[in-house]
Amino acid sequence: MSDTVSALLAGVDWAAVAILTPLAGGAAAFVLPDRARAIGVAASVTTAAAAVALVWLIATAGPYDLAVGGWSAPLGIRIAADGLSAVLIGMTNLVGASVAVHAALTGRQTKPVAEAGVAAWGFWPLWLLLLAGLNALYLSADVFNLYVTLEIVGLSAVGLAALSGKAEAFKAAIRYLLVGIIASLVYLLGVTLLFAQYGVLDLAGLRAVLVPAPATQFAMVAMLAALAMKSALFPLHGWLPPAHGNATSPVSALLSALVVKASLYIAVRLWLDLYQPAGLGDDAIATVLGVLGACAVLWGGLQALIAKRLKLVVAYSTVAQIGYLFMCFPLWADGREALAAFVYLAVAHAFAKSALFLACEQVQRTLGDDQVSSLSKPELPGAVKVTFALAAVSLVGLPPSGGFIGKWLLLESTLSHGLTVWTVIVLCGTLLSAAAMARVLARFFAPEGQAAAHPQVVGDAASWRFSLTPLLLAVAAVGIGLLGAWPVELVGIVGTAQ
Amino acid sequence: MTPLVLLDLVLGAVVLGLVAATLWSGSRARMTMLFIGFGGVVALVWMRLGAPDVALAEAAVGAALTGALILRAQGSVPAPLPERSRPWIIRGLVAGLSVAVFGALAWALISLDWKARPGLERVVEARLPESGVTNPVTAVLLNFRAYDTLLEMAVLLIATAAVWCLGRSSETPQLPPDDPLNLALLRPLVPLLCIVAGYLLWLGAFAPGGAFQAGAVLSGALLLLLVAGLPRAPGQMDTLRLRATIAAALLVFLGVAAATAMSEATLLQYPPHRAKDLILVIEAALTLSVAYTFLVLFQGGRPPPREVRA
Amino acid sequence: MTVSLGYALLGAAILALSIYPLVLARDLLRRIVAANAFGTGIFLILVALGFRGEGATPDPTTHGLVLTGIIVAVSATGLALALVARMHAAGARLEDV
Repeated sequence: MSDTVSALLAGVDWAAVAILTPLAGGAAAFVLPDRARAIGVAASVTTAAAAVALVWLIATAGPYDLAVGGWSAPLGIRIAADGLSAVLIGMTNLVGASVAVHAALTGRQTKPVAEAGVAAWGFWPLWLLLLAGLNALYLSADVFNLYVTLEIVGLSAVGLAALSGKAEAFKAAIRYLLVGIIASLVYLLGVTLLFAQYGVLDLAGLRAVLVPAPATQFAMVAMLAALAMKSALFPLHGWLPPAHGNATSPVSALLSALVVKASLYIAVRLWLDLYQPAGLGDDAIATVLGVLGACAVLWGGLQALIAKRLKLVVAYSTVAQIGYLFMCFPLWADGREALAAFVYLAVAHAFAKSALFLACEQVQRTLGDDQVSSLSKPELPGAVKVTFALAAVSLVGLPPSGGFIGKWLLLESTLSHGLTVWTVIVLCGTLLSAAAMARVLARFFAPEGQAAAHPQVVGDAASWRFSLTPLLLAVAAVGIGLLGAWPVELVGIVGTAQ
Repeated sequence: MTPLVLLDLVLGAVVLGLVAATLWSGSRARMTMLFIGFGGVVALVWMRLGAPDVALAEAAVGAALTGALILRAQGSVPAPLPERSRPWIIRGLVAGLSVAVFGALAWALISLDWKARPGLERVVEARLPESGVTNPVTAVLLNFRAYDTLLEMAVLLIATAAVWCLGRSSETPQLPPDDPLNLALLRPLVPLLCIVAGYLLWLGAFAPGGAFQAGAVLSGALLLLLVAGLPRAPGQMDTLRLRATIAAALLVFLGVAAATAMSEATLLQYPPHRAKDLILVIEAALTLSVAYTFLVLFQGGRPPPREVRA
Repeated sequence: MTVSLGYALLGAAILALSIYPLVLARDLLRRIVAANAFGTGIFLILVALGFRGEGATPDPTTHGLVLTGIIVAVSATGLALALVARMHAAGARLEDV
C-alpha cells in the first residue's frame, strides 16, 4: 500500500498541479459564474492537497527542481522549492483553502452589495488566480518570472480588495494599486540591471557569478526597497490599514495572512541566496531593514491600541507583525539558523490573523458594525470570543502557540547576537499587542447589560457557518507549537541555490 | 557626424522633450495627446534599436490603446481643482530623489562593460531550430520562456475579472449611426483590420509580428464597432461565448501545459515535430483573448447579461 | 557601444523625470501616465542592452521581456483607470488618495 502511495507521490509533478489547477479553476470560475462557488472550493482543496504532497515530497526526498519546457537556464525558466519555500507553500494553501471554505459556507448569508453593482461572484476567479500566483511565486527561481508572479498577486489582491463596494474600499484599492505598480516597476529596474551586468535571470546562475559592483548594488537596493514597499514596511505601510480594514472579511484574511508574506519571502530569498553570499550583504542594509522593522513593531502596536474599529486594530497588528519579520534580517549576518524564527512567526501569524479577520465577519453581522466601543453587547456567540482569545494567544506569543515559539527563537537570537536594544523592542511590542488584544477581549468578556435580561441570546441557526473556520484556524495557530521540531528540520533543507 | 548619429540625437531630444511636455503639461487633454505622440516616437526608437516586434506592440498597445483608455477615463472623470501646492520642502525632497536616482542609475550603467556585454542571443540562435519557429522573439516568448507567457495570460484575465467586478460598463460615447464618417470609416477599416490581424499572427512565426500585435490590431476593429454604436457589436452582452473567448488563451495554454506535464516530457516541453503547430494554436487563442481583453478594459465594466437586452 | 549606452541613459532620464509627477501629482490620471513613462524608461534600458549594432542580431530575450512588460503595464493601467472611474462615481474625490 505504501508503495503505491510513494509511487504516486513521486510520479506526479505536484508543483505543476499546484500551479495549473488554480489557474484552470480561475478561468473556469470566470467562464461559469453560476458554478463559481463549487469550482472555487473544489480547486482550492485540490490545490491544497497537491501542495501538501509537494511539501511531503520535499521533506522526504529533498528539494524540488525543474527546468520548464526542458530548456535549462539561462535560456529557459527554472522552478524550484527548498525547505523554506515548502513551509510557506504549505501555509499558503492550508490557510487559503480554509478561507475559501469559509467564504463558501457564508456566501449565501452575506447580503450582496447590490447598491454598487459589485459582483460577489468575482471572489472566486480572483482568489483562484491569486492562489496560482502565490504558488508560482514560491516556486519561481527566475528573477523576471518573480516579477510576473508579483504582478499576478498584486493585481488580484487589488481586485479582491475592491469587492466590498464601499467608496472607502475603492479609494484604498486605488492607493494599493498605485503603490503596487510603483514597487513592481522599481523591482523590474533591479532585474534590468542584474541582466545588464550578468546576462542571466536564473537565481542559481546569478548566484554563481554575482560580484559587488555598482550596477549590482543598485539592483539590490532597488529590489529590496520595492519588496519592502509591497510588504508594508514602515514608513511605507500607509496603504495597508485602509486596504485590509475596508475589504470583506475573507479578503482581509487573505491579504494579511498570505499576500503580504509573498513579497517578504522574495526579499528573504534574494538576501540569503543571492546578495549575502556574494558579499553584498552589507551590515548597513540589514540594519536599516531591522530598524524600520522595529519602528513598525512600535508604531503598529500603538495604532492598534487606539484604533476605533476592530478591523483596523487587526490591520495595524499586521503592520507590527511584519515588523518582527523584518527584524530578523540582521540576525542572518552569520548564517541561516535564525530562519526558524522567521518561519514560525510568519506561519503562526497567517493562521492567527486569518482567524481574527474571519471572526470579525461574525462580529459585524451580529452587531451591525465593528466599532470597538460597541463590542460589549452580549449578543455575540461564545465561539467568536474563544476564537479571538486563542488567536490573541498566538499573536501576543504565549505558550504553546506558534507565535510563542517564533518570539522565543527571535529573542534567543537577538540575545546571542548581543542586540539588547532589539530584545527590548520585541518585548515592548509584545506588551503593546497584549494591551491591544486585552482592550478588545475585555469588552467581549464583560458584557454590559446582564445576560439574565436576555435569556434567549443565542446565535441564529446559521451562525455556526461563520464561527467554525475561524475557530479551527485559531486552534491551529496555538497548536503549531505541538508540531515539535519538524518545521525546523524542514526549513533546514536547503536547495541548490534556488 | 554621420546621419545615424544625427538621427540618434534628434530622436533622443524629441523623446525627452515629449516626456517632459507630457508630464508637465497644463491641461489634461494636452497631456493625453502628447502621451500618445510620445508612444509613437518611442516606437521609432525601437525600430532604430532593431526591435520591430516591440515597435509594433508599442505603437498598438503602448501608445494607441493606452491613449484610448486614458482618453475614455478623461471623459468620465473631471480633473481635480487646482489647490495650493505642497510645501516646498516636500517638493524639494522628491526632486532631489529624482536627481539622485538618475545619478546613481547613470553611474551604475556607465560602470558596465558596454563593449563585451553578456547576452543570450547566441544561445537563442543555437537552439532556434528546435523551437519550431524562426522568429527569435516568438521563440523566446512562446517556447523557451513560455511559462512567463502563460502567467501573463493570467494577468490579463485578472485585469478583466477585476474590472468586471467593479460594476456595469457605462455607456460608451458613440458616433451617431447615420453619420457619414461612421460608415465611411467602418466599411473599409474593420475588415482591413481583421485581415491585418490575421496576417500579423501568421507572420509572427518567421518575421516580426505575433499574437500580441495581432490581438491589438483586432481590438482596434472591435473598438471601432463599439464606438460606432452597432447594436450587435461584440462585447455588448455578457454571454458565455464572450467569457469563453476572453479566457480562451489561458485555457488553451493550460491544456497544452497539462498535456505536456502528463506525458513523458516535462511541463511545457513541446514535442519537437509538433512545436510549430502548438505555437500557432496558442497564438491564435492569444490573439482572440488579447483583443477581447482590450475591449473589456476600454468598456470599464461588465456588459449587461442577455436577459436585460431584448 | 556608445549607442546602447546613450539610449540606456535616455531611459534613465525618462524614468527619473517621471518620478516627480508619479509621487506628487494631484490628478490620478497624471500619476498613471507618469507610471507608464517610468515603465517606458525601464524598457528603453532593456532594449538598449540587447542592441548589438547595425546589422547584428540583437538579444531577443530583452525584446521578449519588454513585450511582456508592455502587456502587464496596459493591464495594470486598465484596472487603475476603471478603479478611478468607479471611485469618482462613488463620490470620492481624486485628490484624497
